[in-house]
Amino acid sequence: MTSALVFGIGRHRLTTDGEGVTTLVTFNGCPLRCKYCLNKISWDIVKGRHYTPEMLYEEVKIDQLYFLATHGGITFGGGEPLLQVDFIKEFRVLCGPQWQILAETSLNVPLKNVEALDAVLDGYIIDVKDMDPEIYKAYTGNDNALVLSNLEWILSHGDPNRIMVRVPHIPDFNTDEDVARSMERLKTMGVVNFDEFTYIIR
Amino acid sequence: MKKGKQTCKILKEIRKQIAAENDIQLVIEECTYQGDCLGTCPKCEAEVRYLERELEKRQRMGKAAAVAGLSVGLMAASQTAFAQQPDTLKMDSIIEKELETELFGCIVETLPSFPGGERKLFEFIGKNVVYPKEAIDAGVEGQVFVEFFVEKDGSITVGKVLKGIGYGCDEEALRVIGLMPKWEPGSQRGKRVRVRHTLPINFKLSK
Repeated sequence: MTSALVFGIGRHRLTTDGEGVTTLVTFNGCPLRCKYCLNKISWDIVKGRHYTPEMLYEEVKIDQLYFLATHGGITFGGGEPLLQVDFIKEFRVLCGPQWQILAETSLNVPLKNVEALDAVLDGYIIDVKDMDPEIYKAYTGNDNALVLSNLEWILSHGDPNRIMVRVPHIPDFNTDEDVARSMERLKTMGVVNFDEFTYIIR
Repeated sequence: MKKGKQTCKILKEIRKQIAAENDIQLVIEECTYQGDCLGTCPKCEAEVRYLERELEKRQRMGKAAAVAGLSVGLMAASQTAFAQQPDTLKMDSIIEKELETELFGCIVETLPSFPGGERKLFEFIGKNVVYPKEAIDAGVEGQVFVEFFVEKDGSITVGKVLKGIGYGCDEEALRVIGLMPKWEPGSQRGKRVRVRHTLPINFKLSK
């Protein structure tokens, strides 16, 4: 039976991630170790609650009317949601085609995960951190080769409007010029929707 | 206006639109609660359940339910007001006072846990569930999804069956939930909070 560790379910997010009312479901497990990670609990692969797709569906369908009325649905975050391929595929079967399912992802996952979920997802919110490999490595502890190749794959397999790319200003790691350079490069790749903001340090 | 109140207002407008579009009588009393809220409360939730029942009735009578996309414009109009909402999940985005009340499906830092962990929980359920004779005779198998609450002191308040299979299994699932010992309560930033929980209880006949 497919199951996944979930550490949070946040209801009634209004136009925060997607156009309608959404419920954010956050999975444990992340390939990155970002210095200002807001959800370090996601690094823990023990703490959390095991959910099967059906358990989760039963819990979140309480807001189905709001989802349908506003073109909302579920945003899977984390941690890294694209590590939960089978879970999300089974969840889609349960909730049907009308709910919007978004993934809030770093894209730092194997391409086969992206390929497997692309048809299931309505959209992506992608946090690229910084396009410069050295800045990325310094901030996340990992390299960004997969992020770039996966992003290219997504852009070449559908409407770029289904992607929102986050380009954060990361205090002590990148500069305004670095962010501008990232955005220029992303525009060249075909990205059209950006969310530029500054990370909060806690 | 507090964030929870803004959320409440928008959700209420959505409910009003659904009711109006489907000719459902929905009397919404003005909320007089002055404190912070999570954007929903048992009264708001009851209105949603009422709308669902009324829409089901209409569908049974062959009428189409007009819901899909009904409030998209409303959400777009409210977008500016919500521009300051957090764009990633932040555990501390829920203000202190809200945490002192009830977390209704909200994000908790430490989820409640059964003493000894999940394995012990399923052992407990396995030991205590009595397969109803009625279900055995009918060959009924399946999962019953039960809602319950883990209170701040870890005690259990039995909720309701979210999805049942009948033949006495639903009642049996609720009975076993009520037998559970106290859990380790959930907490948020060190404060104990009431948490809603859903659990599937499996009914499977041995062959």
